[in-house]
Amino acid sequence: FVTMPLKDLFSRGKKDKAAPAGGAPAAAASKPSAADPIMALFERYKEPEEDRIGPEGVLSLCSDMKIEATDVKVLILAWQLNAQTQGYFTRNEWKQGLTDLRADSPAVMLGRLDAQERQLRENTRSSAFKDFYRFAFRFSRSPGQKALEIETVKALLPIVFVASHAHLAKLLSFLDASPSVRGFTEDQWNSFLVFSHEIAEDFSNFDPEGAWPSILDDFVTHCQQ
Amino acid sequence: EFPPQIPPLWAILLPAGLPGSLLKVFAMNTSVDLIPLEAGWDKMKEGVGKFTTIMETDFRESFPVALHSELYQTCYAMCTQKSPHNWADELYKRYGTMYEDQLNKSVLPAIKEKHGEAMLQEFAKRWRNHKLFVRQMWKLFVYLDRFYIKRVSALPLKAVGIQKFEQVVFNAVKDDVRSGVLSLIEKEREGEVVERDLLKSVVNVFVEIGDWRPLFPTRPGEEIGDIGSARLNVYIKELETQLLAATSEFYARESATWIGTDSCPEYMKKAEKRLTEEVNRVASYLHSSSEEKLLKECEQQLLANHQSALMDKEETGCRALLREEKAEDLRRMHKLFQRLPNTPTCGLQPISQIVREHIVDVGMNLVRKEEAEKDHKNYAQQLIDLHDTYLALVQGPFANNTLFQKVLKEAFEVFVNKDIGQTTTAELLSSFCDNIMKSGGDKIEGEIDTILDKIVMLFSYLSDKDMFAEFYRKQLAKRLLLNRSASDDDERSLITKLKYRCGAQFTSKLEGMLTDMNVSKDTQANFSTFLNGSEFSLGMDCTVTVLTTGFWPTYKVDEVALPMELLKCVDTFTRFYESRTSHRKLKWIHNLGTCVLSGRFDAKPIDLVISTYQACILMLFNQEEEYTTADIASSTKLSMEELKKYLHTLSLSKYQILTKNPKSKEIGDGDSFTFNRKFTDRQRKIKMSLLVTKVSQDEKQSTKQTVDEDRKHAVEASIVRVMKARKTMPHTQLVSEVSVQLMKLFKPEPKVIKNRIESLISREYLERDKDNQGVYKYLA
Repeated sequence: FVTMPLKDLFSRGKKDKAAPAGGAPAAAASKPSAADPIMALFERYKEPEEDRIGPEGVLSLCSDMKIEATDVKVLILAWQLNAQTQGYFTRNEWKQGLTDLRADSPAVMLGRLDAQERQLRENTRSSAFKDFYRFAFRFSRSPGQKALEIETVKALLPIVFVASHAHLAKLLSFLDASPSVRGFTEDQWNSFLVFSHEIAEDFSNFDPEGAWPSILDDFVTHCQQ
Repeated sequence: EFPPQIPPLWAILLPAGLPGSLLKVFAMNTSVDLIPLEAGWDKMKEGVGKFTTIMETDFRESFPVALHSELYQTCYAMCTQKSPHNWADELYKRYGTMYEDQLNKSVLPAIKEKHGEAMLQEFAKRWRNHKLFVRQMWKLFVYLDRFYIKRVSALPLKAVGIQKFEQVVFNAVKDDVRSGVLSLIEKEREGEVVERDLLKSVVNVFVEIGDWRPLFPTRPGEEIGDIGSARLNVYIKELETQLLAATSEFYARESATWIGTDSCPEYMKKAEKRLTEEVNRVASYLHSSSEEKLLKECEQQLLANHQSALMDKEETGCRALLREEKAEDLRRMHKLFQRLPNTPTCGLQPISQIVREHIVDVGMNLVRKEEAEKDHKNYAQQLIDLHDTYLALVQGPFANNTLFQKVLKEAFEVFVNKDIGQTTTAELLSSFCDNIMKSGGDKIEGEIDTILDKIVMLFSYLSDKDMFAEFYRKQLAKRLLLNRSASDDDERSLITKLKYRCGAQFTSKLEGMLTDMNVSKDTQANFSTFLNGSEFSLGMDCTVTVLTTGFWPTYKVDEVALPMELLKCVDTFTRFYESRTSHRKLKWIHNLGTCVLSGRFDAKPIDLVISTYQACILMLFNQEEEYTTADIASSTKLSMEELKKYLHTLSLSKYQILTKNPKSKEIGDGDSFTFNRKFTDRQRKIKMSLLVTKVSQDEKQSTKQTVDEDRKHAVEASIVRVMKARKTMPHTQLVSEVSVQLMKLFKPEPKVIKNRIESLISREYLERDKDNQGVYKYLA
């Protein structure tokens, strides 16, 4: 979504057309009842030969919601749906997620996602934000990888955080200046959130002997030079 | 009330001490003549007068027995007469005032009219006499003591006597007496001889006057007090306190005059002398309980107050004494300052810090000097010598005091862990051991063990013990494989000592190596038997040493192509070995092997002791006359680089077995070689082994790498061990527990520990607590 260039999104979608997604095989897909608007939506966006919504469907949904594919709301949606695979929503994920969201049309979805976005922005210390932040990492990984590539990290952070966070800008410039850092582990990613909440702008309360991952030690040293 | 029966006179007199032979039994006067008060009192006063006369004539006569019994009877009668003729109360009262009169009239003036020492003499004499007087009076009035005082809860007679003395005489003259005593003491301290017996008598008065109080309760219902300590109340309040103050002042003055001019040793000698004098003084004429307090004052003034000034004296203070190894003076210093309370600024602690600094200075100087040297063969021995010196210092003058043992260790830990340029002390200690193990033969038995003990002492100061172990392992391997070890026992001895220090795991590889050597001997014996029993022969003697992987350093496994003859040996042994064992695979390491070739030169045959590689090269010339470098390379499968090294030794060094064409100094790829028939030497057997025994720069690097790798694993293992046991732990605590666990081997850096924690997190052995960034949890 927000992390992959659009053309990759498309080419990926086409490549995966042959492989069926997790969930019910295309042939056995049962027609939802006309009275269930959520599943009707699903039918609208889903891949023709698979029982899941693919990148093309997502694009469609975005345009129906009148948002860009790079909007953070798409990531929030994925979070709400607890989507396991970038670019795809399974039938179950869609059903459960939209039910929880209490949305059954793009307009309503937009409204809910807007509200969610505001809430997350306003309260970055909430457990909801923490959950969202952590989800963003896991979701953005390439399949089979444990770490997140540094370019993805650099793109993802400003989206997830309010871009004006003090530490964020410095971290990004630190990462630019550190070619040896190739990626972030989950621990490093999660720790940065705690760091951004606990550590003062001038790093006055930073303890280098503390439990921070050493990349953050290097980060602080770099800023203090 | 009154005794119902009148006891016979002798029953009362006997306990009062009258010798039986002088006893005259007098019939009791049972007549009804009542004794009036004044008449009776006058009678009693006769006794007082008599005894006073006796005292004043220096006890030339004793108190008449007849008078004694008469007075006793009088007192008795006066106390037992029926009311209103019972004079017990009055008698008791007059008994008291009798003392007051006596003391005021004659005793006090006698003392007051004298001065100085004479006054003290009089005072002591009067007290002596008074005690006797009290005793005598008691004998006369004893009936009151037995049957009156309890009834009215009054002070016993003797106590009254002493109390009166205290009130009338003692309190009046005590200040003068005290000054007299103190001034005599000061005179004695100044060097004059004084009358010690007199002082003893006078001081005793203070003690004895205090004696009566706890023994005789003064108020009804009062308990007998703690005799022990209360006894000295008068002594302490009226004499000791002032004595201590005067002592303090005296030594403050005296030490002030010494400190500016005397050297530290001189001052200490003087102080020691003074302290001995004071002990002697107490024993002679003070109460023993004063010793501790008195010495404390002296020690404070003489030692504590001037400690820093003394220690810091430029030419003669503590540092100077250490530099010049003045054992006697240091011994005295230890004995003296041991007396002071043990605080960071007073007593032995500051001295121990000076000792520590000194040892560190000397050690660092050695380190700096050594850094300028080209080779460091002597460093370990110098460290040993240094340690011997300072160990002797700690054990001798400092009497093995734990404080000094501690600073010795701390000091050595500082400089033993300094590298000498690029070389670590760990390596140098290991090389030192290497030399000993190789040349051990020329030392006597016990001597080697002593040296090894000393090395282990130095080893214990290393923080990077694992570095030592790695160098030692490499060097041990070379010794064993090249058969350079002088004594198997010595090798085992050192390993046992290290095991004792660091545990079995530390030495397990080393022990494994020694075991391998022994097992190889057995295997070799079996191999010989096997060969003897079989049909074919190898055509040569072949000795194989089998090494267990893991114990030994990693050696490169070769790809060298052996000549047929050697290959036959290798194959035969392999077959033999694999038939005797299961699940084992042999990998051959020919670059450690040696070979003895017989060279058929024109002049005479000479045996060449060479490495297996060199043998492979030379044996080619059994087949062809001439080879180029490239040819040899392809035949032997040696790398060009290695081959050129060996060809150099065979053609361009001391013994030129091969003739090189062209005669240039370098080995070129296209050079050609032939067998040098014309070669000869005086000896029949020459050694040409290439194997290097000194530690090269590469080896240093590889050792360091091995150690770093092992450390990473050790840290991880420790982290996992701790976390598995505790399940959850905050970061700083984990770092510190891991450090403690590993301290015996090396000092782990907190950064390294942190890295390993992160690695374990990403490998999902641990996780961070979701709500607490600083706490880790174990993942089962």
